[in-house]
Amino acid sequence: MNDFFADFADRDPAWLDEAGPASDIVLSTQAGLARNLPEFPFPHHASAVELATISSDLVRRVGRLPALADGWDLDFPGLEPVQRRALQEKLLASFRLVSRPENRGLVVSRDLARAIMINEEDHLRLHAFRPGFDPLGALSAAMDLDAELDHEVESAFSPEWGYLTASPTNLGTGLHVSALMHLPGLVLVGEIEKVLNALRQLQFAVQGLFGEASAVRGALFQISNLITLGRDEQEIATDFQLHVGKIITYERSARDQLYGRDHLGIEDMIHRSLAVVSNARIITAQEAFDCLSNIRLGVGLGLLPPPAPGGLNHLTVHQQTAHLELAAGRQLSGRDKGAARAALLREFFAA
Amino acid sequence: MNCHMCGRREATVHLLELKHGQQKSLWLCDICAAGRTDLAGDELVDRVFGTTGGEPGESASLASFLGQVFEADAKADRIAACPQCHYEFKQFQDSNRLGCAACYPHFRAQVLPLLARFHRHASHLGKVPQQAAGMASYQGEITRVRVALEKAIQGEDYEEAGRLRDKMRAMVVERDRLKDTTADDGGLPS
Repeated sequence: MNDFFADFADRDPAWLDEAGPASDIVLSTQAGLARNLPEFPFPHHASAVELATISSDLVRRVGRLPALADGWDLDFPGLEPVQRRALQEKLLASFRLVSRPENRGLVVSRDLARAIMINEEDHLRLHAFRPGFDPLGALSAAMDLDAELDHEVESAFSPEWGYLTASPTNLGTGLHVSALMHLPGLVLVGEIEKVLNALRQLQFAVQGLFGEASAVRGALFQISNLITLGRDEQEIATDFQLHVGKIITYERSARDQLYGRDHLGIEDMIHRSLAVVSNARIITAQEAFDCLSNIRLGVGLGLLPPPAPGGLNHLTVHQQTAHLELAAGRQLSGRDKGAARAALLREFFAA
Repeated sequence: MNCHMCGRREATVHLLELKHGQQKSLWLCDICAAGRTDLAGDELVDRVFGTTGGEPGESASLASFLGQVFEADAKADRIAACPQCHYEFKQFQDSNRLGCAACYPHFRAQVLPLLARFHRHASHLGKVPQQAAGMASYQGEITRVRVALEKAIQGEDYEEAGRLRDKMRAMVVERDRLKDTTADDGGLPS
């Protein structure tokens, strides 16, 4: 575990550095599976003693899975709060896990592309990440992990209702496919609400960067399926690929439309953002998200040279508070945080 | 005929009401009817048809009707707590979560409407863990037939729909017989 945080700055999830399909618009795709033990209450209804029993047992068993054997058991409750928040910024731990770490667990694969949260909303939440837009690849990785889990854990399952979950909204397959999408074109042409409403009609949830009602920042949207019951895993992922895939096309045409309508205004906006991150001495997180969003748009439109692969993804994660504090080795006040963020961005863009 | 509430079991109870010169009928299975003892028959029919104006069997009106019935369960004090984890129905209403895996068969009548409303389906398709493969693959077959039946109805192929309906009925009877002979525990792995 100490090894894990010793070189935490260099330890980014593989999906963050790699380019995947449509990676100019989709940062990553993940597939998550919810599983539970039949003999214990679900985490929200379990006592502290039961949670401790479940956690120690599952951490041990999950650690034996071949996919995670050379990974890290992060002893989640024993971590510093800032380390837990940094794991959330890397999308490996959920807000629920971070806000109540007692008797929770997190085991991650060496490449940080697969993770299992223990005692989150369900006893087990399996996650697999893929770079870019790759619902079927993410599903396949998650199902492989689940197949390994089958040898270690007997999950609560009903022939009629499938995998039994704390919330009936996850019942059946327990599968949620989600994509982290950058949609500034649709935001700027004023079409985003229309598109998101259409997605909601088709039973997809739209959230901010960190899921579950988190705020939308830097035109980053997390889109995931709502229906988990009555469709098999392949159908859920294929349906996701079809409907959410259309958003990629809409975003591309919105960008073209935007640039055609006011190329000078767009170029000005993008270069202003570049000027801020290249020169400013204090930058808030919101401003950094917005500037990075504009620069990402500029690269997508071919107006700016592409930075090193994964560079913008890396900055989007590392300019956040917990990463800045871990890099500084201390807690940072508001002004110091803004200065550290500005220094990080300047170093990257002024080079 | 299948129960208008769960859409799965054979209907055995018939509720009828004459209102505004129109006859409305509602068919329920034993289990769903037993869960509705807090409502007189006509009151239930009124809830079903008075609010939606639709016909039973239409999925949109069915979902809305189930929502109404679920609301009616607000008077839930009479529903016993889960025998395994002692979770109360009131807690389910407040949190939208169940207490443990055994809550599912225990609160079956209350959970079903929620599933129809949220997922638009009430049975599982997809991966089955090895330990539960036997019974589940049979249930999976039933679900596949049900999906085909829905498609046939949508495509107005009533001949095919009739055939599939009969097939599904026979399979449901066979499944329930299998369950009875294997000391049904509500579908949980033992």
